[in-house]
Amino acid sequence: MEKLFDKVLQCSDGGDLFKKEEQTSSVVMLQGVVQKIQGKKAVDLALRIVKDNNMGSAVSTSVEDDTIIERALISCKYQKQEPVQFTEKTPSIVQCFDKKVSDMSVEELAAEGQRVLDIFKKHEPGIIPDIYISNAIRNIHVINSKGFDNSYDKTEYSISLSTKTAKGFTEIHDMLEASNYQQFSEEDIARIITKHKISQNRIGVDTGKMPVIFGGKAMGSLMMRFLAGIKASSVFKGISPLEGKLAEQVFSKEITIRDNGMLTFGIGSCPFDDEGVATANTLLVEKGELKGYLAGISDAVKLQVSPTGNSFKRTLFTQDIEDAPALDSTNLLIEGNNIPDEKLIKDIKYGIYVDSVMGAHTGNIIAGEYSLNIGCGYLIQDGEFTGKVMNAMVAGNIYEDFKKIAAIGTRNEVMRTIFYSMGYSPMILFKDLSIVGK
Amino acid sequence: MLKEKLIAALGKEGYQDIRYEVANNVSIKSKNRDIGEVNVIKKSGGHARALCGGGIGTFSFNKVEDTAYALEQCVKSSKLMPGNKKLAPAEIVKDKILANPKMDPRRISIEEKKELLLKYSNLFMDYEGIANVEGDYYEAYSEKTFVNNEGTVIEQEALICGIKFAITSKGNGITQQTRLSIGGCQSYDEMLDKEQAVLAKAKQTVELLSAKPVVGGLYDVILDGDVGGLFIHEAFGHLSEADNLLGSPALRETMAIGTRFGRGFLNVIDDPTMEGNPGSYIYDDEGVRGIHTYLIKDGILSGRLHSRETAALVEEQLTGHARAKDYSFPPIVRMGNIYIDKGPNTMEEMIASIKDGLYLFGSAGGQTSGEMFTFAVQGAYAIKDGKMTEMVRDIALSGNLFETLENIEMIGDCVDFSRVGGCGKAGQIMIKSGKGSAPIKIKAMAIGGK
Repeated sequence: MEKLFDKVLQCSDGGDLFKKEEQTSSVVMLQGVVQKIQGKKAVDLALRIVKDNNMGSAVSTSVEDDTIIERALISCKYQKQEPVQFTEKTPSIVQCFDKKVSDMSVEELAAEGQRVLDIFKKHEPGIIPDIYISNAIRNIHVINSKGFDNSYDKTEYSISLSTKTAKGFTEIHDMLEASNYQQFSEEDIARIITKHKISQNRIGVDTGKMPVIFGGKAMGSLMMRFLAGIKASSVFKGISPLEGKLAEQVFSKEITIRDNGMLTFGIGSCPFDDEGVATANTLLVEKGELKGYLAGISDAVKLQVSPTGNSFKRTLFTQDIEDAPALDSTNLLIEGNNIPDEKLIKDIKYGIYVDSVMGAHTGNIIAGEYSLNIGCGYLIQDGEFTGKVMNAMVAGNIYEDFKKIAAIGTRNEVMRTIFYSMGYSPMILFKDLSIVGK
Repeated sequence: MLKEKLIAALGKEGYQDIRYEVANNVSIKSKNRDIGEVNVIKKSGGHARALCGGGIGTFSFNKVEDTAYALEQCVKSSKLMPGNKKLAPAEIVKDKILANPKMDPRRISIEEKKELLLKYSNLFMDYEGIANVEGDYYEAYSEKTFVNNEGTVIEQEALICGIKFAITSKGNGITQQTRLSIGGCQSYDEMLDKEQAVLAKAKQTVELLSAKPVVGGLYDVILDGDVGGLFIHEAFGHLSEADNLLGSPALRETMAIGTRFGRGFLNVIDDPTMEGNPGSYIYDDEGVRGIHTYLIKDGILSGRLHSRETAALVEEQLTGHARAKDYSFPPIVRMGNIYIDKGPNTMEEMIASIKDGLYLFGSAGGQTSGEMFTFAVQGAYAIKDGKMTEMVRDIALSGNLFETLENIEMIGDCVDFSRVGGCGKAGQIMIKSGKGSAPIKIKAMAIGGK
């Protein structure tokens, strides 16, 4: 890598070279049996080159492939892109590598799946969930012309399970995901079994406004909209509803939001982003008041703040090496008054608990609009889940509805977008949201 | 040379295959009146599979030298799996497929591609009310070599190019977004002379600013060809991908061939062999030729899309639909070009039949969980007493697959295909996935609104 970068420096005014080496394994268990085992070992490189006050880029899958330099120069010739002011700061140490995850063989992944199946068998032999388990070990190395030369190792561990309806479709889905090893406990599985049983009672709801609790997992669909607006790049484009609102009360005072790339063993934790900028614990909203934006290197100069370490090579649907570094979450975290989850539900006379949604990636995301199918949700009557809500949608705009947040729950769940996780959130109670039912 | 190396790496035990791919892509992005990123991308890697035990072990890699290691891992994984999985027998093929576009995008200079992208971008930006236009020229060319230890050797070129625009209008204190796609096939000339389409989309995007937000509720709706294609892709297409049936006897029963899914005039087809659409190809990533497949014929479930594994499971004919996004992923069952075939009704008849409903235009993404589906559209016209009236906006729909297919009351007499692919499944976003439909009328669809 160093040799290749030396060649880059000989024909340019500077640049940076990003290398990702990864090894992944995954095991899929269907109907209680291992059905698929997949593995991967790959290297990816991305080069950004500065010449004549312009910047070009190229990617490759081999350190021996010198054509990456020629192609970056072609890119530099045809595109107009202001060169990034590369960082030289040494990043902090962030705990994001777990040797247990790194050492897990596919046999051990399968054994963990079997352990979960055995707990289901003990409590409810009739429910056999599908189980997906994976581990990944990544080494990220960034070199730049300012002398930055750092690397880190990161592990990722994910386990998800789905129970099935009588027709064979997903009934309940749950998952754990972090940089370290995670286990579904007997208590977690008991809760999933209870939800599965309640789901056997299908209920229609009327169209109207009612109290709605978004579970932590489903909050990802709403936080995708917040993430689009909190990026400094959206603010500079003039398309963010949060533009010019620093220090203003934008949401309910019950909610605090931060992006913490240094969270111990968080799924999005790492010492530096894909441009080499140290990650941070950035307060974005404090008790409803807007405190800051996520900023890349160039944004930070304009805002006169430090960059937040949020530039990553991924989009909503891809994590390809050719994705240019763009602002994204590390671990978005929702904090608040942490009312016990049981109490949050108990105090509702008639409302809905949303466990998962479909359609999070559709609609006018930057404007905060959402109109989501309730993939899995429960009707709450007199403080109890009474059945699974069928054929219902929840719709609104987060910039109106986050003002209606009445309480924040306790147990964190992984917030999902479509393919990837964006952080952690407890359940959130909204005073009233629009529901379209039958 | 590569081909010989791959063949030499194959073992004799059980079933083994290797797919090696060299991808040469061009990406040019524009923002308003300027060119943003220009990328000439070169990537290569392979994917190996083995069935020597109870299931298929898979492994992806970059370096050709790692092929033997990858196969070793596959054999080991396969033996760890219990059971007795089989692959449906496939014809042994030795073939070479070359991309043969009418106008080859690989022979067009980056300068010309930039100019075309900017010409359309400027046309959008010149239209009063348009605030932002992001353009994306994509060109993906790959050379894939597939070999297996049954004797199949296929060298196949794949090529697709197109332009996608995301258009934003701003005014009246709101913004509205639409999309326009052109090309979506091998030939560059399909992207030329699209000024009228650009101007029509600009006009529509600005008119949406004056549209009223939809009021949530149940509506009788007409879906245009683009939206109908999205509907059948999300609501039914994914369920017809037979890998859903692996490990689910209940779903096999739900999806039994011969089950009635709609009225007699409903015909749904997947056809990778049709030329000039995003999901067109010759051989899939298992070396099986893709074929025209009736999924619903005269309202009855009559087929599904298969890999060799799923075809063996349910003892049905191979269809050649096992495909991967690239060498990083295993092939999974994917649609080629899915569409609702034409029916007996004219558009005038369909509009006249609705007292209070919506004509939906322009797809804007969707999702399915199998039984339930949802999708968003770019906008709609209200239909009152059999006449198209004002525009409405902010529309997303959802429904139950089985009920909704039953609720298709009318089908138009002409099929339109979308000019862009794009489908996500199991972490793989595939641009080479086509969709289309004749206009359809569905009664009582749930539409979300504030």
